[in-house]
Amino acid sequence: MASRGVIWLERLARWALGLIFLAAAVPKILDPSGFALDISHYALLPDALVNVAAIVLPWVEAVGALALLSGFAAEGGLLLVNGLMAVFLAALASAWIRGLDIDCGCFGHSAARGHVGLAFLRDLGFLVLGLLAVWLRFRRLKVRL
Amino acid sequence: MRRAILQMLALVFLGTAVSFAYNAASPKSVPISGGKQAILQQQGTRMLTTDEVKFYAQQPGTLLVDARSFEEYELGHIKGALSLPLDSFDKDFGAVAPQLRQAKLIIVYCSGGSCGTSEELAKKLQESGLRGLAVYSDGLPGWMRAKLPIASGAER
Repeated sequence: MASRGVIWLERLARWALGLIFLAAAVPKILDPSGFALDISHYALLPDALVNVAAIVLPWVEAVGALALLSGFAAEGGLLLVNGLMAVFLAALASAWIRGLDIDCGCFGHSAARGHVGLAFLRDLGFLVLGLLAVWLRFRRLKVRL
Repeated sequence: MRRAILQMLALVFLGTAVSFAYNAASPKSVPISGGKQAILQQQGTRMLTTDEVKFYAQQPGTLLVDARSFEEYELGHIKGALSLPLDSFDKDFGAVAPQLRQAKLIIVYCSGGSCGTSEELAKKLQESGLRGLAVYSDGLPGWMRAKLPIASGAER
């Protein structure tokens, strides 16, 4: 049986991740046009998929965040947000390598451009948090990875 | 593990279903197809190709606006373009507003497809009451690739 400390550590990591994803999803849901333009600036997706991604991604983030916060389907939520984070990191790394001077669009559309390298490092921290939450949760529930 | 994967797929399905339902009902919905061009059209801005910009640039009443920093503008810009950096919009808009108000077509550009500055500036110009706005999304790199005339130094 997991100790009380491990249970609370897993809970805190999951809630923190849930809040981060919810904070990232809401501005994108409220301004899908701005998010679509942000996605297009990465020049990674074909133009035909840009708007669909801008419509779907924020809601998938929000649903994943609610799963983490509520604890309902939390294991699936953890896999989902870690998967999303890996995709976001790949996009940011690609933009960084190509030297793009763009707004990352991570927490919604902004006219100001931040450094994508800094956004990459921040998201790397979130991924570490996400993997910690997966490890703690799955260890507690004795799920084999 | 299988249960966790099934949960994840169910969450993706739920998020996707809600997203399309919300987009259909939302006043801020975006067109599913048409990409960036459809978004800009929705905002009242056209997206122009290099050939179209070349054509319109020769027509009276067309004004080209460089949205990059003034330092970048001085290094090289489309010949005849005006400098209005997005970063100093509030400070510089007043000085160029009379010229902008006289123009029938205002074409805004920056450093190409991954540069959102031109779209932001077009949005700001529209919010300032200007109409007839277009974005040249290939920007200066596209213009230079087509070997069209550029200039350097200050023109404003």
